[in-house]
Amino acid sequence: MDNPETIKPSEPPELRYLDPEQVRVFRTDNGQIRATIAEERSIIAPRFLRASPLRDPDRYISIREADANGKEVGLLRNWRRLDRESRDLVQAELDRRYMYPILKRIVSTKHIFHMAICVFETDRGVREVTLRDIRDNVIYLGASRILITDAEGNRYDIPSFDALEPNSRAMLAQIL
Amino acid sequence: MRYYDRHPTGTIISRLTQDSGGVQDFLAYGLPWIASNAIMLVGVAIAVFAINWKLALLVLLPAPLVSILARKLWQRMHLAFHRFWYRWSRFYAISSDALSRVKIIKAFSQQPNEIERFQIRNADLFGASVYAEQTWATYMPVIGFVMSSGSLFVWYFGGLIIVGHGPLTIGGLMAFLAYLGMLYGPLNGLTQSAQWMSRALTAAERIFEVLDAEADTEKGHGNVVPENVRGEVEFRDVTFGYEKHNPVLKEVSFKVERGQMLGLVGKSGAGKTTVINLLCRFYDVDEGDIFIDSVNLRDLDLSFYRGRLGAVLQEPFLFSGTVAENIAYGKPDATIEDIMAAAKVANAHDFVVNKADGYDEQVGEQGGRLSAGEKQRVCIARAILHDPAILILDEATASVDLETEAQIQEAIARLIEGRTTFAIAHRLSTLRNASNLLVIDEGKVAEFGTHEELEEKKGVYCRLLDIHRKTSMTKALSG
Repeated sequence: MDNPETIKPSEPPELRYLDPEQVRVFRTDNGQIRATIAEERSIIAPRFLRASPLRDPDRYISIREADANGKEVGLLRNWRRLDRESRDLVQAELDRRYMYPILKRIVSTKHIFHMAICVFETDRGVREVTLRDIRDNVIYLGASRILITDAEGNRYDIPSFDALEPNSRAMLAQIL
Repeated sequence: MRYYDRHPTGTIISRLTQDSGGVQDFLAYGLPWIASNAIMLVGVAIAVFAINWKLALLVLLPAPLVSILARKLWQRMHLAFHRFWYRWSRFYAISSDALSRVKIIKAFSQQPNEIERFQIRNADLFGASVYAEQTWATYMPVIGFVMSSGSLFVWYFGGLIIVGHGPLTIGGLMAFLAYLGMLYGPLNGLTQSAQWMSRALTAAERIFEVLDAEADTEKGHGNVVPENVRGEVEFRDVTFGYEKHNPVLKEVSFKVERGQMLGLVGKSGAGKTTVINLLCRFYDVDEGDIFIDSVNLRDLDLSFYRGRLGAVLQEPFLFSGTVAENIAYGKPDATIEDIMAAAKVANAHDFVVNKADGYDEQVGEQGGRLSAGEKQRVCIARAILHDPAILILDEATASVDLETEAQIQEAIARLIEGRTTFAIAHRLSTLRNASNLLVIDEGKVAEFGTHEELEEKKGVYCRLLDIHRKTSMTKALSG
C-alpha cells in the first residue's frame, strides 16, 4: 500500500544504558514489584528480559514496562551491580522466565519412528520428555554446552557434555 | 556472475558434492588399488619371462586386440559417464528446486506437474545409468575372453615343446600356467579400474569447469584503495548486455552526488536491476565507464569497494543462525552493543528482545522463523551496522500490517539519511523523497530530474505515475 506522504527520518533512537546505582527494584506493601530509575521514573510490575540469554546471560537486561507494548525503559549492562534486594528480585524474575532445568543424567531412551522418548534426571526432578526433529531443536553453545528443546517447548540445559556420566553420553550421542 | 546465471544452484551443488565425492573416492581407494595391481603385474611378468620367455611372448598375442577393445570401451564409458553426471545434476536441480519452493508448489496446487517433472528426470537418469552399465557389461566379458585366450596358446605350444623334448618340463609348464593365473587377476583388475577411472575423470572435468570459470570482473581487477568512499557515482555512456549482441542498457549516462538518493523508475525489464548489477560490479560494462568518486570502477579494489556497498532487497534474505549473527553479517567483529544499537535504529530491538532467546534466537532456514516484517527490519539493521557509503534499496512490497509498514518505512528513512542511495522505486513516497529520478525506457535514459520537474514534463514518468496511481486506487477500493 502506498502512502503518498513523505516519510522524514526521525531522530535515530538510541539505547539507554542505566546506571545500576540509579536503579532500585523492590516489593511494594501489596506485594507488587516496582522499579525506580533515579528520581525520574517508577515502573509498576516491570518485565526483565535478557537481550542475549544464551551467549551473555549475565549482561544486558532490558527493563520494560508491563503493558502490552512493553516499552523499554533501559538496559542494565551489569545487573549484578544492583543493590542486594534489587539483585535478588531481578534474579528471581529472570529464573522464572528463563527456566532451563539442568540435565544431570539420561535414565533411558526409546525411539519410536522419528521421535525419541527419554527420561531425563534434572536438577528439578525426573521427567519423561519427547524429542522431535531433534536436529532443529538442539543448540550447541561453546565447547560442550548443549541446549535441548522438547516437543512441548521446554528447554533442558547440559552445561558440559563431557561432564555427563558415560552411559548418558552414549545415549545422548545416539539421540543427536 | 554469468556462470551462476547459466547454471542452476542444484547443478552447482551436485558438482560440489557428488563429483568431488567421486574424485575423492578414486584418490583414496582407487589409486592405491591400481598401484598394488600394477606392482603385482610387473612381479608376475618377470617370473613368467624367467621361466620361458618364448611362451611369455605368446601370452601377449591377444594384446593388440585387447588394446583396441579397451580403447573403444574407454571412449564409450567416458561418454556414458558424462551423460550420467549431466542427467544427475539436472535431477538434483529439479529436486532441490521443488524442495525449496514447496510452499509455492502447494499454493498453486502444482504437485502433479512437479511429480511428473520429477519422474521424467528420474527416468532420464535411469536411462543414462542403464546405458553405462550395458556398455560395461557388453565389452567387459569380450575383453576378458580375448585376454585369457593367450593361455590357450600356452597350453598348445607348451605341450608341443614337452612332447618334442624341448627345454620345458611338465612341472615348468604347470608353474608357468599358475603364474599366468596370477597375471590375469591384476590385469583384469586394471581393466576394470577403467570404469572407476573414467567415472573419476569425468567428475574431475566437471569440477575443473567450476574452478576454471573465470569471474566476469576479474579482467581489469584494480588495486586502487582510496581512504574512503564518499559515494559520488557517475555512469558515462554505459552499454551492457547479458548477451553482448543484445544490450539491455544503451549509452546510459547520469551522475549522483554524494548523499543523494536516486530513484530508478521504469517498466519491468527496462534495465533498473541491470544498473544495480553494474554498480555492484557483478558484471563489467561492455562500453563506457562507471566512476566512483571520479575513480574508474575497474581500477578500484573490488573487495574494498564492495565492502562499502550495502543493500536492502525486496526479498529479505537471512542466513541460518541467530538474529545477532545475521545483523553482524557484514561486520563480524561487531560487539553485542553495536548490534543492539543498529537494531534499535532499525526498529528491530524491541521485537528481538521479546523473543525467547533475544539476539540468540535462531532465525531458521532463510529466516523462516521470523515474520516478513521482522526479517525486513533485521536486514535494515544489518545494513545500518555495515554503514555503507552507497546503499541499494529495492523496496519491500511484502504484505505487512500498517504499523509494521510504518516502522519499516521509518527505519529505511533513517538508513538512507546521508548515504548515496539507489532505490528501485515502487512507492510514491520514495519517488517524492528521491533527490533525482532516473527513468529508464527500453535500456535508455528517457528522463532525469526531480519528481516535480518530471511531472511538469508530462512524459514517460507522468504516464508511469498515472498507471501507478490508478493501480493504487483500484487496490484501495478493492480493499
